[in-house]
Amino acid sequence: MEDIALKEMWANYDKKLEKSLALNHRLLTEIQTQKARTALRPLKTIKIIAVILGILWSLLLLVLVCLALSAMTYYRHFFVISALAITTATVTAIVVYIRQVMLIQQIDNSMNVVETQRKLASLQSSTINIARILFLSAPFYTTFYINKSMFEHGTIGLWVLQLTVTTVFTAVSIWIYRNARMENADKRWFKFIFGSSEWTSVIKAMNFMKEIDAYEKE
Amino acid sequence: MTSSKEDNVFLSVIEQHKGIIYKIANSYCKNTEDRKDLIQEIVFQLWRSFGRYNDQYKYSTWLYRIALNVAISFYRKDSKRTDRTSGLTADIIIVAEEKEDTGPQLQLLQRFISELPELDRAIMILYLEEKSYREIADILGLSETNIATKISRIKNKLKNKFSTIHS
Repeated sequence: MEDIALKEMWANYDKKLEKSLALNHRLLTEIQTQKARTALRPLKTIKIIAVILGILWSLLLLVLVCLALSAMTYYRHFFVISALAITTATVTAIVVYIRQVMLIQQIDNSMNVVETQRKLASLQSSTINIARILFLSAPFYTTFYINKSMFEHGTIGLWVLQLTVTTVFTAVSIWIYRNARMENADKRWFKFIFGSSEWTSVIKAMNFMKEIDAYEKE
Repeated sequence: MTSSKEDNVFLSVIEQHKGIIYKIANSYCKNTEDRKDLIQEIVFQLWRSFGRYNDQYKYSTWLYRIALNVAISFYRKDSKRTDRTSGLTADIIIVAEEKEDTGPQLQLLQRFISELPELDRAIMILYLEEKSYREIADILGLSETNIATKISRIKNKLKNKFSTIHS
């Protein structure tokens, strides 16, 4: 199959299409009235909502921390440290979300394909960083409720259970934080945790970034 | 440009380039319903960007960039798509004969192109559209040397596939 033959085939395809394609002018006019609709708008809206909810959640935790500090006792250390750790993780995730919103603003489909796709792919793949950060705060959800009454009346069984749950959460969250990376995207556990359709497109974006990098190195 | 003049210029640009839009959508999307959606999204993004069109580029360069960017992003989304990008259900580009009489060789070429990775597919479409290396490099944002190497590699890959089928 020679070059000319490939191009001739394509040119014939072009001629056939020229005869058989027609525009639906009514629909085109309809599209021209929809200037506000964009493919990235829902994504941007979701991220802005996430930022607002994240800020509200962090503020609530900080208020509770202030209240706990105003009448500080030894046993409240568990709540204060846990709440501050969760707030730190949430604020870090908010910063990544704000960066993503800024990146969405910069995306322009009329720029060259590699540049635009790199921005889009990095936007999608940074979503995994948010998940990693939030996983890291998981063990603190198992410690914030430890209080005076648990120390005074808690049985050995309760403390064994508490210690087991916290240890498991800590080990799993650190492990996920360290391993939820692009190079592990094909592993079974990764697909199990990030197997939904939203994550499938994130994984495709991560692979696509690898492809773009390989392209530019050649 | 006044609004109605802008509308008319846009209509004529789409009229002139409808074949390109269809071919790109067809190369990235085999499912008829998804292809219809992709064409709508391409046309919508073209319209959205039309007001900011930079006349230092040809209309075709601007159009290829947007169409390929939208098609590649669309392709990356989950294949089992349930969400639709708009409430419009009809086709913007209507194909007169639903079964295009394309011939077995062209069908093979289309199949082989649709099996290529996203960027290789874009390069091959532009090459077959007789774009110069410089224009392909400009549309994709790669160097001309890179494009030349890639084209030669993809052509070899396609030739091998054709010869395997024929033997």
